[in-house]
Amino acid sequence: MSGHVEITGRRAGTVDIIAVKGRLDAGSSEKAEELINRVLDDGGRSLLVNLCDLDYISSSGLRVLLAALKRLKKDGGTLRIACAQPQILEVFTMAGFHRIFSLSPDEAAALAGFTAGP
Amino acid sequence: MAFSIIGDMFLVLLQMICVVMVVAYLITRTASFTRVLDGLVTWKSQAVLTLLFGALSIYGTESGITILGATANVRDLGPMVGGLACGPVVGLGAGLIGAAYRFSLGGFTAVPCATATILAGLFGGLIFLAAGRRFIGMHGAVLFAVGMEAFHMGLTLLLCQPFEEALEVVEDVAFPMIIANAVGVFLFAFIIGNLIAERQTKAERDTYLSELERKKAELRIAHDIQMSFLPDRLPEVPGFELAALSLPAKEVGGDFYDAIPLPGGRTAFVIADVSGKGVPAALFMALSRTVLRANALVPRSARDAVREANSLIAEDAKSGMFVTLFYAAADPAKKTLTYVNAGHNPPLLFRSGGGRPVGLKGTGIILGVMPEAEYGEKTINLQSGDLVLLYTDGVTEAINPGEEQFGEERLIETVTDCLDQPPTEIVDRVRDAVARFSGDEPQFDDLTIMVLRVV
Repeated sequence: MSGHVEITGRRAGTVDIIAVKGRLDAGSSEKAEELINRVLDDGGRSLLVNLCDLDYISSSGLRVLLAALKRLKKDGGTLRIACAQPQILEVFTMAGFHRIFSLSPDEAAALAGFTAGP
Repeated sequence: MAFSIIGDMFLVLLQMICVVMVVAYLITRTASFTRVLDGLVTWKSQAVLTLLFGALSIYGTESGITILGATANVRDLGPMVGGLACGPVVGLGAGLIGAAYRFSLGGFTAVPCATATILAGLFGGLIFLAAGRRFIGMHGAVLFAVGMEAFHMGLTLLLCQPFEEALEVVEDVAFPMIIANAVGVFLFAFIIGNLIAERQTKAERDTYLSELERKKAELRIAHDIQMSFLPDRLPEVPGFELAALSLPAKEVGGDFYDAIPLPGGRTAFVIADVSGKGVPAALFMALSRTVLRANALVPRSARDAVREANSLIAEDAKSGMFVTLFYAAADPAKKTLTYVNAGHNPPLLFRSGGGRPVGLKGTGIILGVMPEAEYGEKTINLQSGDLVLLYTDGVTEAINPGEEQFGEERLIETVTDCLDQPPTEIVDRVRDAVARFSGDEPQFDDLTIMVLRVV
C-alpha cells in the first residue's frame, strides 16, 4: 500500500506552504514528514499546511502534523492548517486536534492569520 | 626459421605466464597480502611478502628466455609488483634478494642487472607511497613496467663495457624483456584488481547484511517488548465474557489492550494505539501502559485516572508520539460502564435488543499532546446480552488489493452476523474477515480487537 499522495511545497512571503493531496497514511506520511523537516531545517518558522485536497488522514498522518507543531512551538514558530475537509475535521475532532491546531477555512485566511499573529 | 623462433618465444612466454599467474594467485591469497590491502602493515607480513617476491625474482632469472643467444628475463617482475602493491620495504627487499642472486651468477651485465632489480623494487615502492599507500591500478602498473625495463636497458648501455657488446645484447633482449615484464605485471595487476573488487563487493554485502540483521533484530526486540506488555491471558471478570486479540504488523506499531482489576469489584478495560513504529513506539507503549495501570489502581474516577496518566505521558512524549486510548471502568454490581475516550476509534456498543450499534465517541484529546488536558467521562447502563466491540484502526483501515479500506460498515456487518456467538468466536470471525478482505496485501498496521459481553 503506497497511498496516492501528492505533497508540494512553495513560499508566500515568509510563509512556507505545504499542500498535501490525497491520502496521508502510514505509507505516505514519511514523505510528508521529510518535506516538513526540510522546510524547518532551512529555518522556516511560519508553516501553513494546506489540506484542501486531502481525502484521508490516518494516525501516522496526525503524528506528522503533531511533530511539526511541537518542533515549531519549541523554536518559536507557528503552524496553521488551512481548509481541512469535513471527513478530516472529524478525525481532528476525534483526536482533539481542533483544540491544539489553528484551523482556517481557506489558505487566504490562514495567511492573514500569520500577519495578525496567533 | 623466423616463424619457429617466434613460435618458441611464444611458447616460453606462455609457460612463463602460466607460472606467473599461479604465483600471482597464490601470493595475493596469502593472509599477509590481504593484510597489506587492508592497510595493516606488520613486520611479519612484510618479511613473508619480501621472501615470496624475492623468490619470484630468482625464478625470473632462472626462467630466462634465450633469444638468439641473449637471455630475456622477468627478474624485475617480483620486486616491481612487491613495491607497487606492498610498499618500498617489500619492493626493496625483494629487489635485494633478486639482485644478490643475479650478482652471484656473474657475467658482464651483472652490475647493471642487479642495480636495475634493486631500483625496480624501490621505484615500485615509491609509486605505492605516492599513490597514497595504494596499488595504482592496472594501467599505471603496466606503464611503470615498460618504463622500468627501458630504464634497465639504458642502465646496461651506460654501465657495461665495451659499449658495442652491450648494445648488441640490448638490441636483442630489449623488446622481449619489455613485453615479458609488462605482461607479468599486467597479470599481477589483473589479479590484484580482481581481488580488490571482490573484497569490496564482499564488504558491501557484509554491510548490507549486517544492516538487515540490525533492522530485523530491532523489529524482533520491538515485537518482544510489545508482546511482553500484552496480558498473557485475560482475567476472569465477574459479570462479563471477554476475548481479545492483537496481531502486530511487521513493522510493529504499538497497540495494546488490558483488563485491570479495580477496587470494589470493578474492572477497567483498555484498548490503545501508540503512534509511530519500531522500538520507540514499543517503548512508548510500555510506558503508557504502565503509567495507566499505576493510575487506574488508585481509587479515583475514570477521567481522573486518564487525566493523570496523560500529564505523565505528555511529559515524556518526544517527536510527536501520542496514544489514542479508550478506557472503560465496568461495574458488574451496578451494571454500568463509565468510559473515557481519548481520541480512539469509537468502540461499538451492540444492544441486546438489536439495531445499529452506537459509537462510544471521544470525550477528550489523545494522550501525550497536552499535559494539562482535561477529560470528560460518560456512563452507560448495561443490560444482559449487550456487547461492546473495541478495536484499533488496523481493523477498519486494512486495505484490499484495490486499495479499499475494510471500513466500519464491514466490521458492523461481520459482528452483527455472529452476535449470538461467544466473544472468542466473534474475535476470530473479525480477524478472518479482515484477512479475507486484505488478500495478499501485507498487514500494514497492528490489528487489535477486544470483545466484551454482559452476561
